[in-house]
Amino acid sequence: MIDHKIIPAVMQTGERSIRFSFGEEISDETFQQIKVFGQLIRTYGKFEIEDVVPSYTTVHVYFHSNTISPIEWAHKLLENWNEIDLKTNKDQPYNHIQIPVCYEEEFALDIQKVMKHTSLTHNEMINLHTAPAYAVHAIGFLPGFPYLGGLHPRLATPRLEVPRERLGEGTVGIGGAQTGVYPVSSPGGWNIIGRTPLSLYQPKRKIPFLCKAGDIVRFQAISVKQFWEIKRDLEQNPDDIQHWVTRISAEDNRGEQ
Amino acid sequence: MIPILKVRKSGIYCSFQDLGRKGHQKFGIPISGALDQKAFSLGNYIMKNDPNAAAIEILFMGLELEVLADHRLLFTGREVSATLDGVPIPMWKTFTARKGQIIKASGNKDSKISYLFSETGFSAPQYFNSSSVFPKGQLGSALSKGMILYAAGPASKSGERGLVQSEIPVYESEIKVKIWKSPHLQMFEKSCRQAFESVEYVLKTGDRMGYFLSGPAMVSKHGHDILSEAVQFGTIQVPSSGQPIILMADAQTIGGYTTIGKVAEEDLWKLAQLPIGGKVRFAFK
Repeated sequence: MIDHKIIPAVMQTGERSIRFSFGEEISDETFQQIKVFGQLIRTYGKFEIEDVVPSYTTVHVYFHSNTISPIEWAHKLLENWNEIDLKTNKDQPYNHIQIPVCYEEEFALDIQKVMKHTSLTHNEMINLHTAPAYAVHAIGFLPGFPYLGGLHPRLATPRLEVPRERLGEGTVGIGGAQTGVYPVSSPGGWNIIGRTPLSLYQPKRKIPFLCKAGDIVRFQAISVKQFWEIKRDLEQNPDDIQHWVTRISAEDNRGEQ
Repeated sequence: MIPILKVRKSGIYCSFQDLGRKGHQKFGIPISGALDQKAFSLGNYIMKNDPNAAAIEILFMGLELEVLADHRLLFTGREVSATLDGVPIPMWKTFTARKGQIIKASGNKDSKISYLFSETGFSAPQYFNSSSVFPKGQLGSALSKGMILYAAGPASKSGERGLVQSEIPVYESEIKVKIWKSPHLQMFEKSCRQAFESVEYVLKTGDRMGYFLSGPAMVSKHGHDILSEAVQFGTIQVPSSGQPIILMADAQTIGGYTTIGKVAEEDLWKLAQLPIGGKVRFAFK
């Protein structure tokens, strides 16, 4: 999976911030390397770091104070990165998140448009959307919103010409070549293809954020009846959200291969 | 916790803010916090409060409060024409409000961002270790009519304190700010890049998420969409219109547009307090 190690380009972007760039292309290899790199940063810079924000090909590090030199810090980090053996580090633990989605028409307002654009039947569309293991490249745009990689190219559908004023919490959509889930209601121009009863973000829950960068998401088709059953259960027991998350340790990872 | 104030009029947008919510940008939670961190920090300094004690950030004007208990208060930031039972209250100096009195922050044409402090700090709900209100993320709500505001503790018996005149920030309507270069800078046309430091931008409109500028378009050869990556308070984003948007405290944490740079921390307060129609020039660090 990881063939050769990328040495990221380094640039200081502020008093207390530095950016590492792993190139311009979205790829599984970059996704895996960024995951290992993130782990290195967390162990190497526990005390001075305020936040680490990964994305498709970049990692931004924010520091607590401007008393340390981000560039010097980065060069020392890269010395460590040079010494890391990717082969023994490739099996980073991550979460596998199962997201149940009701694709039935009452939740899929733009399904006709997507079917027409892609020339797929409703079932073919559901099969293609539920097949991949989506990589969570980044979280942002809205609290807890996952930027997912891996949408089947046949499902790509242009955004709405006029964005909707409100997409409800849990809306699953396709916007161009991207797919995602809205954690909170927000205006948006994505085609609505379904809805999940899971809250991706709930500030007062034990796990406020369902996804983090580096995780894997899979969608699973459910009926309207199941949608309401799951939703009702989670309203009563918000921490049951854990049932949809599986921790994949390094050993499980090897077992899968 | 002592109830000291009750909201009679909530104004345009008033919210509890502190130094911000750190460490959750990786989950899409913005830093939030005071837009003018200089006026905010000076306020807590004058009050001898904890540096991170929550204050009320007043955008423009219109806040009206009833005093429920005697307490020491303070306004900082841009002039907000505050009165106590109709008598003008000076900025940057503490005052003691008595039960039953009415505080009005009526504002004037120069008003922009001001802060109201209570001695010991306001006691406001905390989410992820911060009282900074960010309604979009269900992290607190703006002040609304009828809301009771609490001080963390009682006022001391000490005398009033103020800032010496020479230490009071001067708010300008034409500013120059230093910026850090962005990794995307090379994407812009050479002519735009070269002119950027000598041209002037006008602040058209803005809120806690972003300030919209108007001026010479910054054109990118290969379009303005990039692979989304982290952005921060002060990042200057340029969408396809070519008109820069400066991301402020409540901005999203990841952005998909080209950026020119990031405003230096030391200049962020000047920018935050720039009036609508005010002018800004940039200089690369």
